[in-house]
Amino acid sequence: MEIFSFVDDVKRMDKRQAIYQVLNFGMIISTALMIWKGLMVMTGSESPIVVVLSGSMEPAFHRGDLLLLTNYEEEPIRAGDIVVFRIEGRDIPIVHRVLKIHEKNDSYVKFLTKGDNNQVDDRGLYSPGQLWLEKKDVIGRARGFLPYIGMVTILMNDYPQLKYFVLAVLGFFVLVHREN
Amino acid sequence: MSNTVPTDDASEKPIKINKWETNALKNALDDACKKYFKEALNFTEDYKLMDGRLYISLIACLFSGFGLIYDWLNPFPKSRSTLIICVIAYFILMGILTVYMQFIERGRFYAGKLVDKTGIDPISRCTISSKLKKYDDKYDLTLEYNDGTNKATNSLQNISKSVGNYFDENGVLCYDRFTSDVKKMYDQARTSERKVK
Repeated sequence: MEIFSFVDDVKRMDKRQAIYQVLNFGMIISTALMIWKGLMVMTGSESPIVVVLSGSMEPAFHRGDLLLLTNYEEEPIRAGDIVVFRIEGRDIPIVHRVLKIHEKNDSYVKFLTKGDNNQVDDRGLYSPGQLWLEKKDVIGRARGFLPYIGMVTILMNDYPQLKYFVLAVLGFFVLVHREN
Repeated sequence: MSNTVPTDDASEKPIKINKWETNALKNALDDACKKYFKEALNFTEDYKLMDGRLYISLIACLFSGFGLIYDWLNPFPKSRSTLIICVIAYFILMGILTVYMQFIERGRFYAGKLVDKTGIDPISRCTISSKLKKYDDKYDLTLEYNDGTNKATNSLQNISKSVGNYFDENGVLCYDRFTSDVKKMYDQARTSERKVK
């Protein structure tokens, strides 16, 4: 019955009200978007919040943890830092610890990584012929974390229909609900 | 439904809403008030207030859309300065919108003017605002009436009644009861405006 009352409400809306509903929807999306872009600008990283997908960093990070990253130019990468990097050609970022660094005087660095819970270093993961990672592969360094919250993202990615369904239902309710 | 009302077309059907939902109640009453002013009293609606809100929202959305597209075309480090501008502009506009809705709109959902066909009487203006607190049943309708003869004086009239007066058991709006109260308020406003002069 309540769904039908929404339909009547929508029919009673005049043109300007309808435009405002659409703009309201747009503003909610824009607010989320602008907060994300704002975080990108503040942290200097192209993906300031990532979810840990595997258990290769246990016991520090578990699958489903949320990580906050920063990527400031002035802070050099040192052995022991936990970095999130992307290997060229693959789009899933990896969270591992820096093992070894080679640094030149002009601050060019190359480094080797390994997951805390892995037996071997990451050379097996790099592209064929690649032995070291460079600064350009790095998305950021882990600065803070929130446990468990990323499980929602993992669920949504495993069941994409669930994601579209939830988004569609939320979008529908925002468009239809009149609030003055 | 127990009410029998002649139903010629969809717009004449009595409004039925969820009577426990405060927002639906307020919206239904506001809509009925607007309808009454438009149809019975022949006011033409002045869209300036609503348009202001729409323009601010539109510009805010445009800024965010522009930031999104620019960043998509020029991946992150290059788009940094544009993004900063867009984000700051967006949040400033959000602030402006909040201020606008809080102080300039102030619950006013209708502004109308009555243009006399003979052209003798000056244009009279009405601004109506309403308040209905979240879990309260007192609907407060305020009418600000200006005769047009003296721009400075406005007469304010106000109805503050329980919504139970206007909705029946099933949540159907009793349009006639509501509009008779609105008409009384409007007439009071007109006569008090004349008395002031």
